[in-house]
Amino acid sequence: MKAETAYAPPVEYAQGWHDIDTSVFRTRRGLDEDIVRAISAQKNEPDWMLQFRLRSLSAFRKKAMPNWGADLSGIDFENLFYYARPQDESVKDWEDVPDSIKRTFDRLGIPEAERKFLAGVGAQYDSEVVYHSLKENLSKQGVIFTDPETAVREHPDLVRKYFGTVIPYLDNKFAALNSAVWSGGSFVYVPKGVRVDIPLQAYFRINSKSFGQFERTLIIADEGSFVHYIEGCTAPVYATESLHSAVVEIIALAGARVRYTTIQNWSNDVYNLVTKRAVAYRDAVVEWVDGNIGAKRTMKYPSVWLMGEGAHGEVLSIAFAGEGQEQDTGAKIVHGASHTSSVVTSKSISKGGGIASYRGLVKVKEGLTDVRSRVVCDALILDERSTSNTYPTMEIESDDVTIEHEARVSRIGEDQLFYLMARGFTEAEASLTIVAGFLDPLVKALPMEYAVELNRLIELEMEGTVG
Amino acid sequence: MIASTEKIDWYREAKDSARSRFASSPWPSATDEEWRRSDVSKLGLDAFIGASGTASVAFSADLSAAAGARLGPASLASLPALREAMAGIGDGGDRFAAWNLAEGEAWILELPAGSSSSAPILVECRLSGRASHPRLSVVAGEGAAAEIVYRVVAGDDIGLANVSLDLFLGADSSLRVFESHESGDDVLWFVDTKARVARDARLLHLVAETSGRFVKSRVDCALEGPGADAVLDGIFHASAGRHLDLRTVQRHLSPRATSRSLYKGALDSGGSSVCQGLIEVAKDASGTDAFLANRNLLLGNGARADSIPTLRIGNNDVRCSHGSTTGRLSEAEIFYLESRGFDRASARELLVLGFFNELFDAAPRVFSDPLIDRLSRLLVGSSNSGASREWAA
Amino acid sequence: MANWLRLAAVADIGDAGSFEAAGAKIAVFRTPEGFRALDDVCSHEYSLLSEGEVWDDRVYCPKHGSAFDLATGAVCGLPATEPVRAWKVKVEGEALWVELP
Repeated sequence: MKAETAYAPPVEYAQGWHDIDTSVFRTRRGLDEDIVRAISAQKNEPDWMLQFRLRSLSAFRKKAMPNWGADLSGIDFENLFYYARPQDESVKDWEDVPDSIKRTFDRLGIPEAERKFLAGVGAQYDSEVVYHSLKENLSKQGVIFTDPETAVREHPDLVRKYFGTVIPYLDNKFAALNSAVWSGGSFVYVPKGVRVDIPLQAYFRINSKSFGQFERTLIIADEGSFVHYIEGCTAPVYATESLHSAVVEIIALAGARVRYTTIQNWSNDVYNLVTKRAVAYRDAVVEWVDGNIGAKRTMKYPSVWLMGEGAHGEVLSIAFAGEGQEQDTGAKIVHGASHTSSVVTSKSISKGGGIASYRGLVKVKEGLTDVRSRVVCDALILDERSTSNTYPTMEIESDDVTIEHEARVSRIGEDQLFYLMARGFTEAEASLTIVAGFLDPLVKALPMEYAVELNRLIELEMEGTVG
Repeated sequence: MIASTEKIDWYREAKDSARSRFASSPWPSATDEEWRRSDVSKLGLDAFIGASGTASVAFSADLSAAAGARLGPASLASLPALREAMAGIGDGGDRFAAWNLAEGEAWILELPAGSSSSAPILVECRLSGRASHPRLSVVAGEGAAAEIVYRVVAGDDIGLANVSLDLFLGADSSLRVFESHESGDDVLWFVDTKARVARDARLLHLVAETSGRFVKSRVDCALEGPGADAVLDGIFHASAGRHLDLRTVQRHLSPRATSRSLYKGALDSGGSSVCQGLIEVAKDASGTDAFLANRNLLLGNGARADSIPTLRIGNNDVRCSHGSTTGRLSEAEIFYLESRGFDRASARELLVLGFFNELFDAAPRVFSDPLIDRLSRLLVGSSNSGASREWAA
Repeated sequence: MANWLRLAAVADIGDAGSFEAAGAKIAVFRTPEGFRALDDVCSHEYSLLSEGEVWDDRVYCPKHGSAFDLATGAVCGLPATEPVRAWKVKVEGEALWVELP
């Protein structure tokens, strides 16, 4: 049983709100206008954001579920909690955390304090010291790195200019849901010409709910700036709610470069449905590095709209679909300007009956010159129970283009295995080595500690692959 | 001839049920994934209902090189083979498939077991009237081998051609089929080709689509026995105003079968094409080796090429891959030829024919020569509008 | 010389309506500042802006939420990247008129 603490709203609210029994919302499932108003009031939002949420709620109700992609029939919308709980509430007992998660913590060498935080047991991970010096450096450079609630209150002009312009509330059903009930996430603004040297992670901010259900992230990289943002972590996250629907919008102005890295390892009962999209203007570069290891169902297609000459978009995607999992991931690139280029590299592994699907789009609009795109999808199926699907689409409306797409699906080559085993590897070791080699180009793109953790994770997942 | 098939219950029932299916189903709509990029609602299809008769199809063939081969309307004797060949495979038929079965008369080309031919079998199907629904079933008995050049030629009044081809390959047989669709620029073509390849049989199917205003084609091949091999190739040209939507399906139902599909097309400004390819590997089809590719050459700005190669793989002991490239002629290569005395138009023509060359290579001259002529005219026509783009007589 | 076409009686137009003129579909919106008219078909994918949502001088396409400025047709938000045409309209008498190109 979860302990419920009394909740006292700290400020005056709009008419009607104080008539509502606040404790009801924290235990009530389902979603309606009152809950959306409660969320907005709790965050002390200006009226324009409340109106945006309400419109989005109405859009969420009107929009249909996608008739393609992973199997989402298990989502029971009426039975979910949509109201983000305040940070200072203890969610569960360490006893309740599944053994499999505890074992993974052991294997990954996660420190004690961190384990409790990740499992939702501890109240917060005390990274105060690290955080403070980082915060000082950033503010000296004029970088804004905060949660979206604070951004709405303290930087309304910036937020209003960009929020919802890359992913509008009507984009799809899950973006509409996020737009109505978003809570937590990050807001990043990097001023002209500023290079942020250390990767930004929400993990660093105290009082941040790092693994919210409906995170909303907005990153604005002003002209000539550089930032690398990292979301999530490789350690398994034991989620309290099963529907996670995040929205990430990135605006890379002229000459800016943004890299956004995600390693997702949600527990195996989670539906992870994310809309991520970037706009790259003249000479800008956006790189998505997307690792999907966990979750029961993932639908995520990081996208880049190349809207200025000289822009470049890149997506590196790793998906691991194990037993009971469906990873439906990919990339979407729209070339809307001449002299643009894009590269998509997707590597997937399916085992134990898992289903890994690549779904992608490369679109080149009319009347453009000098457009290049290359998409390579490699899939490994480790056993006969598993499945791999590839659904790419190319829509080419200009002729001065070079568009290439390749996809390969296979198992681990017998000859490769034989070669390694002849040199003393066991079959398990050989398989692991080959899989590690398969993923290597993408793992190289990760910051070191992630690369190390990811490799350990893959090792763990591969156990039991060979009988 | 017609009377004898009417007497055969199952065939008549099949036609009757096709008629009622046609009457009760709508035209495919743009919400249907396979038709999404080729909206038929503005083609005025209703005007063609009831516009055809059995007299609209005339088959002829030169079987002199093929000992024992028989071509004729489906008769009592040939029906078992026909029934075998027409057994449903792949997707349930859409309205066009029902229409063809209802209106058309099935002709069958039988190649007896163990037979072979010393030269290509030339089959011609002439269509007349407003709308025509030719249906040919080619049945190759065990161990039979043949090369077939199949021309479907539309008369001047034809507005719609709804073509159906069944290829049934018995164990160990080999069929090389080279198909072309010839008509004026205003014709609507709907093409449905189904193939079933038994163990150790080999199929090569090459189709050339260079006519008409609108072409919607599906080539669906089921590999049903170990050692089966299929090659599904296509050549197309999308001149201004022409839209082609070409789909191939490589259906691996059996272990240890191989397949390959390569569709190459050239598009002028104002032309548009969609190449949808699917490789589907069933759960127990281990040892599958399948490849799918689409290569599009854009000859002018304002062409639109969509490429949708899909893999659905349910078994891990496989090698499956697909590729797609879209681009222009290389300026360096054009310059090279120009520096050797070719004018620009001829240089381009040579390079485009070179692009298609690997597909012509496999075909007999009686098929590739007229096709090369046709493509040359189209290419000249595109850089010099007004030149005749008619097929050689 | 401007060429005007009568679209409909003002009383017959609700918050938004769809009309045909000069072979084009036109979406008409009733706003506090007067009537606005844009191409009805979204520049992103086939969808009708007249069935969209109007907020603060913009219309949001119902299919994927592309935003267009009601006065100029300029595109204000993805996924659309191209503007739609804005049509000049006027109220004369009891009817709304559109200026043809």
